[in-house]
Amino acid sequence: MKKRIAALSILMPVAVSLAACGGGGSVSSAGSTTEAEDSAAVETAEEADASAEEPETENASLSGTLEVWSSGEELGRFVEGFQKEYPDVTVNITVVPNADFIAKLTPTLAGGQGAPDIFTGESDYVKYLVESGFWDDLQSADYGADVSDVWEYIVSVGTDSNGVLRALSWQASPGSVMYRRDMAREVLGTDDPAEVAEMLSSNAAMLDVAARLKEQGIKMFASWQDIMNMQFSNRKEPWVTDGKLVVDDSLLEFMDMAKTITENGYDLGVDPWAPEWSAAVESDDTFCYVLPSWGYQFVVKPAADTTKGQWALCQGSVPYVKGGTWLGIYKDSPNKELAWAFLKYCCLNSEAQQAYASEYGEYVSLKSADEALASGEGEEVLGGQNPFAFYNEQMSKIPADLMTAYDGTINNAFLSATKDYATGIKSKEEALSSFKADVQNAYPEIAVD
Amino acid sequence: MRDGKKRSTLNKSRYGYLFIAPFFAVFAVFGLYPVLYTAFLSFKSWDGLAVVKSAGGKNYARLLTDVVFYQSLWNTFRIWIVNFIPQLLSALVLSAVFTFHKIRGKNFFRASFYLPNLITAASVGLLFNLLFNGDKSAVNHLLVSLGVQKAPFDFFNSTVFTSGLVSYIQWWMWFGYTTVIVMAGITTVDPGIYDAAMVDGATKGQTYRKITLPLIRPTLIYLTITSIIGGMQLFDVPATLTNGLGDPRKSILTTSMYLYNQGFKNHNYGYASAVSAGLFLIIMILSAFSMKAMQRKEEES
Repeated sequence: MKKRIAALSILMPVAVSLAACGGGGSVSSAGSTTEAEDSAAVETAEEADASAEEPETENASLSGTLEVWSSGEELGRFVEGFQKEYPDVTVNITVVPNADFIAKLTPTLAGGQGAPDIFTGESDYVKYLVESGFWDDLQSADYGADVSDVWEYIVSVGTDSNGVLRALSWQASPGSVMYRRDMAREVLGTDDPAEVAEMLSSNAAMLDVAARLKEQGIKMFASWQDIMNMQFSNRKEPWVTDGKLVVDDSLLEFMDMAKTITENGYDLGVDPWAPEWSAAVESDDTFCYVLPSWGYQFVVKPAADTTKGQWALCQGSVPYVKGGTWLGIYKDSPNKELAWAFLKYCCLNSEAQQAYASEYGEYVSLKSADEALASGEGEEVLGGQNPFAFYNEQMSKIPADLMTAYDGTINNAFLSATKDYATGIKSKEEALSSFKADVQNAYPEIAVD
Repeated sequence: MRDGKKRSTLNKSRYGYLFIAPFFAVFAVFGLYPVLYTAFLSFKSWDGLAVVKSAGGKNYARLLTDVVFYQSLWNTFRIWIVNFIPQLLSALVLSAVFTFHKIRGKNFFRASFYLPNLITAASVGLLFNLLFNGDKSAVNHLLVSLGVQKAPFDFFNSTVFTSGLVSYIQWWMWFGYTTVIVMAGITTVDPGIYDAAMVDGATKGQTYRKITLPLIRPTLIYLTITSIIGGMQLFDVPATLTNGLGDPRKSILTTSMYLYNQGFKNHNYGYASAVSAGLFLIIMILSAFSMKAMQRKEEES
């Protein structure tokens, strides 16, 4: 008996501390921010000194260190240009992988220690941050953001339910269908984006084209899952309206489309980002990717080698937007002036955005910058088509923003349910009821019928 | 003078506490505090950013009726038991072979069996995903070229296959470790006992069953309990093998993944804490149960 107690008492801390690794992650990860705390404290002191002799006008005399947390590397590309205008400002960008971003950010914000001056929010969870109140009002007297030149969609996503602007972005990500010109010429008789778009103008039309391509041994899509990004713009209402889950009719229609694609073998049958999916850029049997502007940036353009000049962008059944990274200023930041200078430089400075976009080819959030670039030369990969001209047209047509704070989780749950229906494992009713159960389980506060 | 001497010996014994203090300080900060904070949060409702609100026993009430929680517990236990029994059997066989036979290259085999354990679990998950995901994946490619009927297979759409694969990966990663520990246990057995058995005419099989196994029971208890604790917290392999939601159809959604998703993806930190408390309780019960079961055997023998 004694031995048993002794053994248990030895095991107890093991079990406790191991269980803690699973459960207490929120707390222990806060430990990683302690390093930043000291510097934040120093900054506070510096800021106090600086504010005493605060310059009347905004100029290059700003100095100090700005802490930025970003979920991607791209934001860092603005730093060099920014420091030319503000040579005394150091910008420290900490890149936190997107998958861990919220898990790292929330304990830091909740604790308030070592929080960054600026942090980003990606489309899957940006609404959660916008509504959380941890980002300052960008149109308050301190900042006075003028958003007349920003695409409406960007502003709408960055605005909370009370109409307060919390975040802006330097990028915009209008959607496209990226297709192969050579295959289009062979099977459809034309490679002109306007004419191809005409043939893809509805879901039914897209499936007709898929059937024609299949006769020639060509798979229309890399993965049907990519099409979901586009289908979300077909909805009339967002996932959650007035605290209730809404499954739009267009999504039920999409489930059938996914099933048709799977049953007929119109796609490669892999998940997006699988090696086979990426390799399809250089294939001789895959017609298109349904991806927004970042898909061209990160999937097609870098991989296109023998297929250079054989790609083109056109509209699918509906114009859409998917993705993006928004920036906001932490409400208790001691460096608000610096933070605003940097945010303004990235998100509201047309010249900075033009320089950025022409160097990296990324579509940006200011209309004037995008319009300036639309008149330039086209892309070699796209056979001379100018992507900016195409995206500008799409941005002017996109429907209202249907984003909610729940999108990341609900999208994934819907994708899983649709997959089960498409592969014939579940009936539509079974798939839908398990989808609804998943949503209810993730968000008990949402009413699910 | 005498008193002074007494005091100095007393003082010296206090230094012992000083030496063990670092452990307790570190444990208090990184072990005890998170546990207490998790217990605190499990009675709250918190989305990670807004004000912490009291939830009373609501989280626990929900936990008791949460089908997904029970499913995740069963998944975790099933994956563990399917990997642990083969793991222990293969470790016992291998250690017997290594201990009682002179095998050429014994150290080489022992090292290479241990090797998978050195790879980060998350990268193992990704590696196996690459091997099996898609019609043109490495394994499907092989099966098609071998002319296997019905190939290529949609492996990750099969719940049985995916769950079995996780168990297999766990076995592959851990059987070497288990073998090494069992062999270490065998070396503690007094060689005199074997000599006596040999004199009595016992066969090798009898010696192993009747002498080695009972005498390494403490080692086996240790292995079982640490394996339960580790296995019930299984996270990285199933999380990286598919989409992190336990697809297909939650077949590899372990309890740790479930609480991670509830907390860090859906921002229900209070409920995630309750799930983690539930998991803790289950691990305690399983550990106590297996310890009792194995010790009763000891008393019987």
